[in-house]
Amino acid sequence: MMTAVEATISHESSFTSRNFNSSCKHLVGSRRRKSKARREALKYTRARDRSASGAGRTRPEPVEPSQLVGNWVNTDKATRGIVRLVLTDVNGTLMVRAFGACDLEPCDWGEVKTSIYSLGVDSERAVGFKASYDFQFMETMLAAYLNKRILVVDSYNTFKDKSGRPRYFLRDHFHQ
Amino acid sequence: MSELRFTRAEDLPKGVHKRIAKVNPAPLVGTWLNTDRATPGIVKLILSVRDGAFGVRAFGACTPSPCDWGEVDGLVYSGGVDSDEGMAFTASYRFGFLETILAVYLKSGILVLDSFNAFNDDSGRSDYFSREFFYQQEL
Repeated sequence: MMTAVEATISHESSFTSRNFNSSCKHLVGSRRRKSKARREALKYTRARDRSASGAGRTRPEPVEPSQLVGNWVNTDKATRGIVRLVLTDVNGTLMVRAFGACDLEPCDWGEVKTSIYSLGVDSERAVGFKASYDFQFMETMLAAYLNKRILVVDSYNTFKDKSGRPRYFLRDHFHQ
Repeated sequence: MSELRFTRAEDLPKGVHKRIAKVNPAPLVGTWLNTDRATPGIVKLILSVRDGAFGVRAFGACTPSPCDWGEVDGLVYSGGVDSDEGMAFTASYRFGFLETILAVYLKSGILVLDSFNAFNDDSGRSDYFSREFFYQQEL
């Protein structure tokens, strides 16, 4: 018999994509072993969404950001992009403060909250983050991940003014 | 040029500022297959332009057949403020129990896809990041 938790997490919900194939939302079989049943009750969009140990971690803790915390400096001293990042843990929330390459001294973008991501559904250590800056005349999304102690930061930039500048992508690498 | 606002030097044109009406998505359009045939992630992407809008259709690794995520609109990015050639895009899928942001760029003919996945259910699964590589399917 499906437990209340399983029933809650396996019920249908709406999708905003235009035609998600509902046949991929596999549900539990009543005769299967409980752990397998719980795993299969989880909704997923790809195999990677599924926990190896059952329905997620048994003692779920927030993803832990310590690997990302610190001062990060661009590996390219002549970068025209982001020269420096300061990542801090404020009561479990990872904050980012970016500094852009400007004349005389770097442009301080200020501090914003991030969303942090681990390497998988069973992992507790953050290896990536996402953050958004709204500068009024433009918006920048930072999509970053840690690769062998190098922080790789991609920025997706959208101008909101009428300057005729296109959206552009930029990648920077940082060391601690 | 001095009246252009900026957050970093890269926001400014390197030469004479030419207005660019729209980024051309053509370099991205096509069917892209994961370089890892055993991927537990995204197996295929179909990128298209319809009525001027850039469409993204992703397929997740499921058994016995891939999960069709459906088509969503994507935003196309160039490689700099002086370029109108598309070389990256972002797209967002909201599945109800899960939100997936795709942040993707083209490098040397390979599409590099980063996905940022956040669960909205109470399943205890960690939000996670994954990186995958795609090559373009020959016509």
